[in-house]
Amino acid sequence: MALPNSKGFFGSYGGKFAPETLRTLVDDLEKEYRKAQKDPAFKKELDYYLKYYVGRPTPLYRADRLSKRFNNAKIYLKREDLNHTGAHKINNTMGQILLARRMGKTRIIAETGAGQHGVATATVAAMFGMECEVYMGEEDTRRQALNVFRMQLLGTKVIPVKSGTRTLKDAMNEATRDWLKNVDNTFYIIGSVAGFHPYPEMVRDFQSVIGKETRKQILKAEGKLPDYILACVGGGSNAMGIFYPFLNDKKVKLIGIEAGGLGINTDKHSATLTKGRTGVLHGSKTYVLQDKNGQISETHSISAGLDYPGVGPEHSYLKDSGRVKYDYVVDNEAADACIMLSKEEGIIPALESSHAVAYLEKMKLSKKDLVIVNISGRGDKDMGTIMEYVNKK
Amino acid sequence: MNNRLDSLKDKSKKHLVIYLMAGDPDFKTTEELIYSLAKSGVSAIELGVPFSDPVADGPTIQRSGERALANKITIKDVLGLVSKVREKVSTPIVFMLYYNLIYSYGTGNFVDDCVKAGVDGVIVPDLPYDEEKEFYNHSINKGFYIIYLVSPTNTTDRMKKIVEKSRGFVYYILLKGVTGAQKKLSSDFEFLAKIRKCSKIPVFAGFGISTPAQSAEVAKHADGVIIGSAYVGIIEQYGSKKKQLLLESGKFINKFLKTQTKNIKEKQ
Repeated sequence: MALPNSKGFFGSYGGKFAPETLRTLVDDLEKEYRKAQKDPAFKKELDYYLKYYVGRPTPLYRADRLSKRFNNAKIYLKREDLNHTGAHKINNTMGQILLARRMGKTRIIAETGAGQHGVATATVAAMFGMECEVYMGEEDTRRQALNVFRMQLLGTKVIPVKSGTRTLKDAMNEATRDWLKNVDNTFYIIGSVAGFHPYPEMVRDFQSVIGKETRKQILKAEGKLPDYILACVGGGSNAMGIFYPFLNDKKVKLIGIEAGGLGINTDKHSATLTKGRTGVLHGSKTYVLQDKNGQISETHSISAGLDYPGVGPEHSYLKDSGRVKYDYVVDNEAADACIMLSKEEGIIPALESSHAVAYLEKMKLSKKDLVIVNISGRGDKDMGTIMEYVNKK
Repeated sequence: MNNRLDSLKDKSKKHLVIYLMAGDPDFKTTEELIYSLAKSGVSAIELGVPFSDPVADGPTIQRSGERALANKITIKDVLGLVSKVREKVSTPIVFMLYYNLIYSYGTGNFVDDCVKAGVDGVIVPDLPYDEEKEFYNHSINKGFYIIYLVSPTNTTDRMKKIVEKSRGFVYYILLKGVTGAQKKLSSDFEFLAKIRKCSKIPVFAGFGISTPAQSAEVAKHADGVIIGSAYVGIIEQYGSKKKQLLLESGKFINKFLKTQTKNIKEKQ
């Protein structure tokens, strides 16, 4: 049976834990999405923009020097960093803004952590001439000042969030509050496979273009499916996007890599699936990092995009079912992997994607292994952090 | 099985429900405020349990929650507080909290411990009536009331289902948005009238009421009003000066109660 079920559940995870004020809107969104799924004109429009504006398909690149470094295992990189705006996020914002237009909404809001989803939202809003406001934790506006400026340049108003821990989860809270107030004219473009139904399903579907392309590309290049696919997991949209078209290929091992921060036995990490337990956050039942009383934990990661105490409900389901293996790497390992890939291949990955690259070190690869790593974004935005890291070393 | 919230069916007056956050400014003061609220004759007390991510709340209640969290207030603490005040207070008390706290506590244990402590019901802004059947069924079995919220954006069809499931009273959200005092209220009283027609239990309205005049206006259309942020604002203002806080709290409540009574007289 295809998941989620009609109530938005992946096994026991997911659901529609939305305040009543949003209910009608969320139900309408679901109806509109079902209509769009059946409408060839919607697919045609989305495909058009993905090709001519975003720049898809992105290459599946055989990384020879990287392969050599890992015992001549054959390693391919899925180059989502080559999308317009430099990350996979725009695959989803393009899909959602087309839906917003179909629903007659005139105003767009979004939350952002690292700023990549914010930039991807600001970009499509500019392209369609729509008003756009992005909520960003005050702490993150400081860490990612360049992305704040990019959004402003694109005509978006960036609103620093000063409540709670002043990071991604609080930006999501504040965007939800905005939506409650402006429910009539506003569309909320959620950036991850999180939130209330149908967002986890819808974002997965928009992102699964990554996996569909990858499948075709690897079959063409190697004549067979890969042994492993690696992707980083914060909320988990790039991972869901590349994993989803391979879920039924049981021989393909899927590995999601979370942010271990300063170590998973400290309180400074974002390894939700590794260390969290079931709870309800931002509209869905899923693994959540929380204290013994159910208060949501403050998280940490060197990459702002993974710094989130929840995770998409489908990942929770895939963890329990055993179909996907989830593991983690710590800050230093990710930073070192970023530097390594830059030197080996001339590709500077985002610190988020660097977590997936770093996992190669832990795999004891051999010549017979065929591996795909999802490079979900490029590292330009992280230069300040990497500079600090290199100087400290 | 009697539930104290059944007393709200009394139609001889317009009811006043007051919200406050447990542990703001501190636990002892919350206890004293409860005694004073009960004595002043409010119809029910809505006791907030602080949560790290209160998405349905505006800045005033968010700050109140942050102060309570800084005091490390947990559900267990608040249950203990209710047990204690129950020795003197018979006013209905309901919890207002977010679902993750209940889920983390264990839904069955939560209901049982609430009943034991003398908590009569619960308001959970992020729990729709059609999720978490076990929690719902367990509450029904134990005579514990879940109060559901109806929004002006709800369809009539869904509103009817919410009203049917709600116990004690129905909470009508006066405005689209989050909790917080508003200078002007523009509400859909027509929808409110429709809800009252469908409901066998009282319908109270809340969100955004800041003055006795607004409260009186709303009370014309509802069985009662719920005051949250405006009252929490008093606690925020006088928090550290306890004597003055109790004094100002009393004055605040009296002003609201007075207009409410007057309003009834006008109608009669």
